[in-house]
Amino acid sequence: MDFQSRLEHKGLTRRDFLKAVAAVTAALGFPVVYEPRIAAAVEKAAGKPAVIWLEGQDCTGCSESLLASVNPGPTEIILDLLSVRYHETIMAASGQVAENWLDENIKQGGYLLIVEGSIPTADDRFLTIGGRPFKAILQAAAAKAAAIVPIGACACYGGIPAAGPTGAKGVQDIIKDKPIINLPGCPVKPNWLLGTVLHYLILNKVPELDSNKRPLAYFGTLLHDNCPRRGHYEKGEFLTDWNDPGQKEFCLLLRGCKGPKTFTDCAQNWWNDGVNFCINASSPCAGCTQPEFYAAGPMDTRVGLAPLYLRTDTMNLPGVGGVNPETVGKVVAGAAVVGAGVHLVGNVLTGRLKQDKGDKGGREQ
Amino acid sequence: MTTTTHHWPQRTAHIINLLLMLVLAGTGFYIHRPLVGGLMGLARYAHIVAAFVLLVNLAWRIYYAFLGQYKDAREFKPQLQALPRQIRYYLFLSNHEVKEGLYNPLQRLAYLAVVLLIILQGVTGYALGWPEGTMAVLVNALGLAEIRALHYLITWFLLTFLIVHLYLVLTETPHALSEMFLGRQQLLSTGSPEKHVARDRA
Repeated sequence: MDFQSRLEHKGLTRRDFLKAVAAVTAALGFPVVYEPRIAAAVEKAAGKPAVIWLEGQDCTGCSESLLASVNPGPTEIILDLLSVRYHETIMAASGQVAENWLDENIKQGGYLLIVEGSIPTADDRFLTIGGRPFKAILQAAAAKAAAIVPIGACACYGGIPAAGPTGAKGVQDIIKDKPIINLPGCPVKPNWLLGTVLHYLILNKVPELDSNKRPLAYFGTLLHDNCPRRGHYEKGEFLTDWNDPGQKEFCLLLRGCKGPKTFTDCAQNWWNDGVNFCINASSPCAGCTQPEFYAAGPMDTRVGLAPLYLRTDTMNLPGVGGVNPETVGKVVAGAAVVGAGVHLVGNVLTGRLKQDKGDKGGREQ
Repeated sequence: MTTTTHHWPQRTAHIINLLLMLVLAGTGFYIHRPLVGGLMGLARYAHIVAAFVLLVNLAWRIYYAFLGQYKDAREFKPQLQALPRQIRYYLFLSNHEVKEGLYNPLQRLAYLAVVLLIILQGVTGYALGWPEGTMAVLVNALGLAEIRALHYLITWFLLTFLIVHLYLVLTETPHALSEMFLGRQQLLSTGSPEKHVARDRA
């Protein structure tokens, strides 16, 4: 089936296709002149580049998010364009047959490796597939991959499992010698994956990344700076009571919103193909695109952004763990006040207060 | 010996420091916990403007300390060996404080620490205000939550300094208070007679 008839089979006209391509072009910050090139790349990609999709410790929410995008969304088009060779949730094969098929595809090499879920490092037995540790499977698959795209908070930085006892780590902590494009989020947003895969197909190189290996096109701006409730923040209107209808549009900062600490394009690029996003639905931002998103647990001393509805003002001190600067500050300042009071008593008792400091001060004899 | 311990450039810088740090602390606490509505935009604006003026003031003060007419950089040179003796004085274990020049060893360390803290506040504050700019690497390495907590913690350290500073000025050298703000010349000898104060060197 050629590309055109496959589009028609999906109930899409060529115009629909070009509109989807234009949206992606704009989202990636490419100039409009790139549009024909992107369309051409997608058509060329109808030759179906191979994708291997591994799943570690996770909830399958990222797969769910991608597969449930509005039908037929641009994401589905691109997923149809890719030849997903191995995906535990959606593939028909199972058991040894599936594992052999994975090995065979790894031998061919040159595929795009998409990883969903974190990797246990405390003990390999926390996650095995067909008796093989997940870490070994990932290392074998990564060795021959063209590029790796970890999707979701778990695969990128350990995510929610990082708060547990498995020593959950992201792909970047295990694989060091391959190009990695982190697409965090809980779950990942379908159009991030679409755009990243397209970018990779068009230019055959990794997009511009920040120091957390996230594409700047999607994670280059602070959510807080683009928030639809920013006006209320500037005016000092903060939601304090969920039951007050008068406050329902107010800034969610005091209710634990992590928007001021989170880099994402959620405010410009809404979820579920533009239906809504957390803050617009009156939920505080959970900070799910940040490495420190759920990093609070016995295995990780970084300060996390959880819990959702509380302001997290703690900071991490090496060897000590999470410390609330407010508590530390009040203790230190309080100790200074008490110390000054005690010292004042000493000053009075020793009669030092009445001395003329100008004359008495001097080098110790 | 008739002298003034602080000359007008130092006094001006000190007053600017005090006023701006009070503005910064006030607006900073409001930004941290905006319990009264309606002032966020103003508070942030004032906070940012005051911060930049404070940093410029600091830069000028450091320049002046080394190259000004009444340069006083030497007054801040740390005297670590004399530090235990000064601490003994404050603990009433000795009746003699160490004072060679304007400041005792603890004062020197405290003022240098304040300079360091102001610079740290500038860096963390700039990272918070413009997280996508030159500080992006720092922001991504630590996370904005960590930087914000650090910024807030340093505020408390500076407040602690203010408490101790004020207490010691009032109890140890009360005459220095009016001198610092009003510039009145006082009959004042700092240290033993053979010691020199800043003005004599100028």
